[in-house]
Amino acid sequence: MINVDALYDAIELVFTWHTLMWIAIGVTIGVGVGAMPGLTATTGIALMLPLTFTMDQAAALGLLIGLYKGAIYGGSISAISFATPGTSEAAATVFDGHKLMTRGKGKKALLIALYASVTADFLSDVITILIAPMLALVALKFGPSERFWLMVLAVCLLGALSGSHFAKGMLSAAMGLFIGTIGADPVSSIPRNTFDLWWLGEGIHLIPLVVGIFAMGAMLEKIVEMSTVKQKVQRLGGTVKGLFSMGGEGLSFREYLSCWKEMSIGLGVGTFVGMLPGLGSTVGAFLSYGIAKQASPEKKIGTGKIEGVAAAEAGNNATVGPTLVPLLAFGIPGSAVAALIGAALMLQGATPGPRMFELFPTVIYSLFLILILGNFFNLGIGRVFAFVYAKLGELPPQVLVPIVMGMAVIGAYSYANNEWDVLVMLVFGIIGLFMRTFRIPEAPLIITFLLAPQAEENLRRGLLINEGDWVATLMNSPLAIGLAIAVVALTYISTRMRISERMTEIADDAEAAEAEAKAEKTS
Amino acid sequence: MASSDRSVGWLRTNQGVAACLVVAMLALLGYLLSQDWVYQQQRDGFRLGFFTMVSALVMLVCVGFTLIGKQKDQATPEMARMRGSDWLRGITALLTMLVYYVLAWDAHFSQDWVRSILDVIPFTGDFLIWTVVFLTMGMALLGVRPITSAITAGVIVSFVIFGLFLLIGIDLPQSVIGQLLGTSAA
Amino acid sequence: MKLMKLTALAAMGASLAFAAPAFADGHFPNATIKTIVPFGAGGGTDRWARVMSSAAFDVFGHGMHVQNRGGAGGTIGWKYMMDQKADGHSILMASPTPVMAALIEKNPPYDPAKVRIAAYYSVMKPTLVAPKGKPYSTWAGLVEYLKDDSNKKLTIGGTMTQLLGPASLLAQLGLEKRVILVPYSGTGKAVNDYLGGHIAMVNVTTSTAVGLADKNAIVVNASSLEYNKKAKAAMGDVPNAVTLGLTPFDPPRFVAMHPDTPDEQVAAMGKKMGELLNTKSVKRLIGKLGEDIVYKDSAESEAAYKQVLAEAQKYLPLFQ
Repeated sequence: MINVDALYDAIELVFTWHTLMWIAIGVTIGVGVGAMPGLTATTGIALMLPLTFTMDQAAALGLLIGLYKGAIYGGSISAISFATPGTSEAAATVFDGHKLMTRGKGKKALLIALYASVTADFLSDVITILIAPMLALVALKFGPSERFWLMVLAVCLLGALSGSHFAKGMLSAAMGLFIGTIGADPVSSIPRNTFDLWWLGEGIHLIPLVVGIFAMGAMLEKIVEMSTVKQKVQRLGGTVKGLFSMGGEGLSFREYLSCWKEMSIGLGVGTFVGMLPGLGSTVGAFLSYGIAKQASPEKKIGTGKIEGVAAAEAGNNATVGPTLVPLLAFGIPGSAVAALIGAALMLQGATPGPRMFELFPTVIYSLFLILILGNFFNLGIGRVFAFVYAKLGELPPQVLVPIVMGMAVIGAYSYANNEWDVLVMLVFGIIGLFMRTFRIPEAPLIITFLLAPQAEENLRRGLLINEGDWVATLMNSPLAIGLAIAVVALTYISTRMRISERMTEIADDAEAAEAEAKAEKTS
Repeated sequence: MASSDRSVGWLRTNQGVAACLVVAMLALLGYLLSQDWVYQQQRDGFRLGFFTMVSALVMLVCVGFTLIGKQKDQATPEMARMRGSDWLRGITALLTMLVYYVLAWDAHFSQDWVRSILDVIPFTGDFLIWTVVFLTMGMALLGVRPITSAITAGVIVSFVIFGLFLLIGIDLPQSVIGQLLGTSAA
Repeated sequence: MKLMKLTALAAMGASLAFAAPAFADGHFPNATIKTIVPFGAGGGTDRWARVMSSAAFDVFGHGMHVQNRGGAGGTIGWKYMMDQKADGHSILMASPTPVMAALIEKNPPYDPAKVRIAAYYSVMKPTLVAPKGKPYSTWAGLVEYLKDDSNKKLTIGGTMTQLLGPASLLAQLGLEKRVILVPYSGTGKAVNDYLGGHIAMVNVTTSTAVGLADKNAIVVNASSLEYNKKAKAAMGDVPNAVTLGLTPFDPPRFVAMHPDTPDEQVAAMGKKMGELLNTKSVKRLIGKLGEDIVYKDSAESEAAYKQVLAEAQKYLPLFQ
């Protein structure tokens, strides 16, 4: 089964200073790119791809995979420090992460984000290596009908994210659906709901949307707050000195272990979401976060808990290894990043595909080794970045707000160099401010924006294939029927739970707030 | 979550805001109904506007529930605090960002009138200059004193961002200073 | 200090030279070529652009500065090209995607017919793949199968550009109503559904087809072009539109220029592109990416483009 010679060759290739250096460079660039709002793993890898033209196999893979891992984690750094998700997959990290930051526990939040990311990433890599072909076969079972039900199931699972005012949560979800319908019709490609603006023909992109609603919304809110709180004159000298001092509450091993449940959820959800083409790490993060929140209501995820950060971060990093599954098993990339890594492999003379294991065993083993090794580099390099950013996050808002706003503009533009994206981002900034002010939760909007168009696409594709037969479309296979039953069951259970939750909620809230206040005083 | 506060004007309660939203949603629905594309039938039988209409209706229903729901008399603490001038401030901030973007990137959105304005302003399309101006102004307006430290911070941050992006290979609008340093990409 | 000033001045001078109008001294190009990729970094077109730019300096004497201008199905990038000066120093790495997007859009920001084409650098070969051992695993079998009305309609998945290939061939035989064209936003998703048995056939690019050839049947190549040696070895003899006596569908990858660009500059750019594509390193890298260089100079390209545009306009209604 294992080609021992090839494995030795791979070890010799990977464990050279040269390769290790490129992994380190990749992770460093990745974390940096990820932490900048708007710049994603895809952009980073695409920009680095030409560099690999002249590199050897192991170094090229090291650079790209290191960058990928770093970027997926890096997004969480600015999400926690500035409430500005560096990448869309870190948006779910904002909820708890930034609340921890404002309570002076930024370092703790950043560390749990790092450890949860690396843990889930590492384990999902191992899963990928062990059962990649099997995972790929499971993914094939998901056709249009199954995917449709899966999306519906995902949306139902996220009921928990709708917050305490149900109508507002639903309003947010409907807004996501509305925004999601802007762009090309999935069957005919005819632009719809574009307000007669040609540049909306392909719809709204996730990056300007997320940057607008989260980053710009948060910064605008801060500006407004600064005006209501009495204007304080800010002297810079002292704070800059503070940047270079160490300190802040760290993370104990016990706290890390206490998140095992959330990390497991993230691992499972992320691995599954990662191997299905077209879903991506943002869905992984939100889904994992939503499930974790629902699984342990007593933990009060969403009020600034490390468990929330752990769930979201484990959920997005666990998609890293599995996105390569369809590429390695069938030669079909499941995501933009996978396509780029596929291109890098081809440039190195190893065409991805089912026969790769026979034809290029050394490349495969090198890839696997780098997948695993990259996590350790992420751990070390991520820590350095985390500390620096935790300190930057403590800069006074008077300094921070203009910088983050500037970065948001740069990010929204640089993502695709599309001038209209900046406009879109700013419009969502004001919508974000309104949502914050009126307490409309952001999560349902993002979720339906991501999932509803896919649900529609798959439903209509299914209807097209089955020539308009709804029953054949919806009940296409035992798997589809199973998923449909799960949707019904889940809706029933969560409605029941909602009612009992309501009863205890009010009492609990008061209690928790009191305990929190006490804890803060004593610490 | 929401605090009940009798001193808050009706317009800021959930009901008041929802009332405004109902009007907005009705206007949106009216706009959609007046559009031709909404009725255009596709080869799978769906009309082009089907899902958009569904979402607009759901929005209307949700807003309606907020209008008459249990928490209708409450106001969110943020809503209670926000004054008209605060909204104005937010929108001004946004417009400033837009102006900064247009100047620093020399962006004219394919509009001739924007182009003609940009043509008479010096240094348009110069990332460094406008970012320094924007950051310094922003910090100073938000209360960073003395002004010299705002300027210092603005300059340092702008150069750091420019340098980092150069390093990764992402193009920021070329800069006079960048060209002097021989780093400009073009 | 003096030295710094001098270098600064020299740099200023150089930058002014960049801005000077082209063609002044008879050399072309005489400045960096702004190379617009109408998609985000990382896609197929982007890869072509970056490979080509890696050898540009040797051929042009100037670099190709790749700029991604993604969004709205490539129309943002195309529109951006239209906003540049028609001085021959801005080129668009185009593909059928922005052409289709403009054809479908009610208020398109440009007319895809009004464009100058310096060169074709590749032509895609839409390739239809079916499972082995089915009555429709060969082209003849497929036609036979579809002619018999008692058989179920067949589903074909793929991206819209790719699907236009078999759609046009079947339409020429009057069989377009016997298939269901299932559009996908990416080849990967389509192949996934095909391998899972959710659609009967899938239409893909050559490099994907080569990967599938092992366990699947290659039905037809809807273009007029032959596969390269490596692909032929993997896929065997596959009929193409020409051998079948049908009008082919040849979706191009091409270098587009502003419609007002003077003829001689378009032709000169086309020629230079030919040289660029002929360099060893470009050939090697493109070959490794599993793509084929198909070069046509500007005159040939513009003629071929007219034809493919007409084909696309004719068959796009099949999707609506």
